[in-house]
Order: sequence, then structure tokens, then C-alpha cells
Amino acid sequence: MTQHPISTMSVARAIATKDLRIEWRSKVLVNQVLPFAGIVMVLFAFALDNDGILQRVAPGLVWLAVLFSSLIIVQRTFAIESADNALDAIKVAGVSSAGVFLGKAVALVVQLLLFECVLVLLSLVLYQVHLSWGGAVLLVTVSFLANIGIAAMGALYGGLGAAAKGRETLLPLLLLPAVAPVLIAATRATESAFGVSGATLGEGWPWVALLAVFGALFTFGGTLAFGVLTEE
Amino acid sequence: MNSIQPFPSPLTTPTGTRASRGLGLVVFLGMVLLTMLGLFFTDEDVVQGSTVRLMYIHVPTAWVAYLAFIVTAVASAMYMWGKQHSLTFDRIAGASAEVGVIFMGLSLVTGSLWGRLTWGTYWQWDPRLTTTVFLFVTYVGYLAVRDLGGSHQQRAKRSGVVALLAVLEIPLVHFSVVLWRSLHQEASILQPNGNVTMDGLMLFTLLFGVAVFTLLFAWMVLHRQRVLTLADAIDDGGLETALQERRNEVN
Amino acid sequence: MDHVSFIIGGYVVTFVAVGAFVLRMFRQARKFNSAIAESDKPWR
Repeated sequence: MTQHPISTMSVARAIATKDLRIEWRSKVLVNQVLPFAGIVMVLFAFALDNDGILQRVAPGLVWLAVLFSSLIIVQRTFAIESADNALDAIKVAGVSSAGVFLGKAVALVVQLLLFECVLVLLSLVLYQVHLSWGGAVLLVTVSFLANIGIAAMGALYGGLGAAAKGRETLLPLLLLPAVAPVLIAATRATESAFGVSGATLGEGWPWVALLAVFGALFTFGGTLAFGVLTEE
Repeated sequence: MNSIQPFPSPLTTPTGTRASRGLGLVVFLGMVLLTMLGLFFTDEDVVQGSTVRLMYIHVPTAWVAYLAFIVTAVASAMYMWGKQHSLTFDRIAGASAEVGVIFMGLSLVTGSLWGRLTWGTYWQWDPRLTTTVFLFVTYVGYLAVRDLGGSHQQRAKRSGVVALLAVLEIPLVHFSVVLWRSLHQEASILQPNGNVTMDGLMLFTLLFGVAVFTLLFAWMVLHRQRVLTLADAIDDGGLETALQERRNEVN
Repeated sequence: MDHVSFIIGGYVVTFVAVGAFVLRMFRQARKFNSAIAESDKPWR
């Protein structure tokens, strides 16, 4: 690793606050992407009809909606960079790419958390699932750890797509298979949190370990790989 | 060899050498023998009946598919950590992944045919099958990354990283699918019965199939890697020609 | 006979797919070959 004038952590902080500030001011996420996630939840209900089925599959639907939204959020995170070739400018400035990666990932974690709050609330209302206090604690833990995994993979493959301009269609093909373990683990844990499909709260916690391993592994891998993937 | 033939046979290739032609001939004869053994000379299995004949082709294709991805991963690692970042390793990785995707697709097809006959269903959410599909999709993505454009070194670095990430991803996918299945045991649809008691000739045919398909893999990767070398040279040459034309225009 | 068609089909699919890949690869090789100097073909 070459020595950079600015520390990795301060780069990460700067990138993350910049990204979140842009999203906060532009309101695109809240005005366009969040309603999209909401309509997906409604469409799931149309497709699956009601009568108990929805309640049972609610955890999976929430996480599918999160994954679909994550594709859009990741693409947006890198679209705001490539609009003015800002990613190139950052690279030319010689800041650490690990810092850029971590900053992007942190901003993604925060945005995904917002989505999960809304989607879980929607599922409580639309799919009539029940959430206990213990379940809520589990759900928050699961969401946070799942987001780290999704954000790390998203930042990595999103960066790859952005570096090769005009090939953003590649993102779903690379990202969705890679985050399948997150979908499985988060869905099972959320089943426990919602108490559906006969799952008890205690069964949910082992999945947390899988999510933690996934998140840690790819955060580490991402800091190493991001520089190479986005290189010109 | 260099004389231009007016109507070249579809079986001639400028990537051939004496050694590769020899290997090709061995593979071809091996395939003929394997087909004879698999379809006619071996007996039917006591349990599986004639469906066991599909195994002689399914097991080798699946083996080659996994082997191909191991080769891709190793070649990518050798590119990434090699001192000269040799593009040869990158091309071997790419060639091996292409061949691997073909064989992975074939093993899924032959596997589901076999499954229909023995399990009564084309598909089962068995961890091994599910992981295989993920492997397939992941490497289709890997090939798409190779196609992104840019310089050869750039392609090599990008796809090398993606190949190494896949090495991390696939075990996690497999592990999570195993956990997923162990929780949701459905009423068993016909027990998947892979245990076959094989007599000498059947076992020989299976092992022979694995050997012949491994040689086929080596032969295909050898040629494919050379074709990729030609394609890269065309790219380089194309750039040279374009630059030359540009210079001529200016003058 | 379900079994026979499935078994033959499995063999045919495999050999056809491999054959198609190989023929396409050879055609590509012949197309590229004339434009490339012999020095760029290390196997020669």
C-alpha cells in the first residue's frame, strides 16, 4: 500500500458525508426510489394474493424489495460520480481507494437502513405481521449486518460497472448471485423476528453470525480489490 | 501450413501443432470408445437400470466444469501475484472459464435428465445443484466482465479480481444453501440415490470418462487460449493501424 | 421409451455443444490468422 497524504479513514468519512449530503439535498432517493420500493411491496401482495400466504412470505418479500432497491441505490451512488467524471478526479487527487470504497459502503449502509425501516413498517401494515420487542432487536441487528454485506458487494461491483462506462447493466448479474447468502440468512432471521413459519426467536440469532462473517469478509476483500477494479 | 487453402475444412485451425493434433486424435478416439462402453458394452445397474448410462457422461462433465473453475482461479492468482503480470495466465483463465461455462451448462442439462429418470423430477433444491447454478451464473458474469473493454492488462486485473472474489463467494453460497435446506426438509421426494454398486467395467467406464473429458478440457483450453492470443494481437494491431492511418491523414 | 430418448439425448446434447464450441473457435482462429504476424504465435 502506498502512503497517501490523507488517511484512509478521513477519506472514507468525507466520501460518506458527501454522498449522504447529495442524497439529502436532491431528494431523489426519497421521492423516487422509496416509492418504487413501496409499490413493489404492493405488487407482491397482488401477485401472491392474501389469505395467510403473505404473512408467511413477508420476510422474504421485504428482503427481495431491499435487494431490488439496492441495485438502484448502488447505481445512483456511482452515477453521481460519473456525471462529472468525479471518480476520475478523486483518483487523480491520489487519495486511497480503500477510503473511497469504505466511504461509499458506509453511505450505502445508511441509505439501506432507511429503506429497511420503511419496508418493515410497510410489511407490518400491508402483510399484517407482528413484531415483538425481542424481534425488533433481532431485526435491527440483522438489518445492520446484512447492509454491511450488501453495501460492500454493491460498492465493489458498482465501482466496477462505473469504471467501464455504459455497462451498468452488469451490476445485477454480478451483485444478485453474490448476495444470495445475505438474502437467505436475513430472510430466515426475519422469519424468527416476525414469528412466522413456526420460527422462534432463538433460531434467528445463528443467522446473525453468517451475516457478520459475510460482511466482514467482503468489507476486507473490498478494501483490497476496489482500487484494482476501478483502475483506468 | 501457411498456404491459403481456397476452401479450408472446418476442422483445420492455425492454432494446431503436432502435439495438439495428437491430443485431439486421442480425445476423439477416447470419446468414441466411451460412447460404445457407456451405451452398449456395460451392463444395466441393478437399482438404476439403464439410466446409469447417463452417469458416464454426466459425472465427467460436472467434474470438468469444477476443474475449469479451479483452473480459472489458479491462473487468475498466478496472473495477479506473478511478477510480470503475464497475459498468458489471464488468457488461460478466460479460456478455462469459457469451457467451464459450457460444461457447467451441460452437466446441469444431463443432470436434470438423469434426475427426471431417477428422482422423477428435473430439479431438486439440493445444495449441490443450487450451488452449481450459482457457480454457472457467477462465471457468466465473469465472462461479461472480461468483455468490458479497456486495455488487456485492465481486463486481466478486473477479471482476476472477480475470479478471486468468486472463490470467496461460492463456499459462502454453498454453506448458506446447506443451512437453508437443513431447516426446510420437505417430505422427501424420492430419495436422491447416487450410491450405485458398480462392477468392474462400469467403474472403469466412469473413470475412463473422467479421464477422456479431462483431456478434452485440456485440448479445448489449449486451442481457446491460442485463439484469445490471436484476438488480443488483432486488437493491438488494430490500434496500430488506426494510429498509422491517423498519422497519414495529418501529413 | 422415455429412458432411451433421455439417455441418447444426454449424449447428443453434450457432443453437439462441444462440437459447436470447437467449430466456432476454429472459424475464429482462421479468420484472425491471416492478419497476425508469425512472431505473435508463440506455439509455432
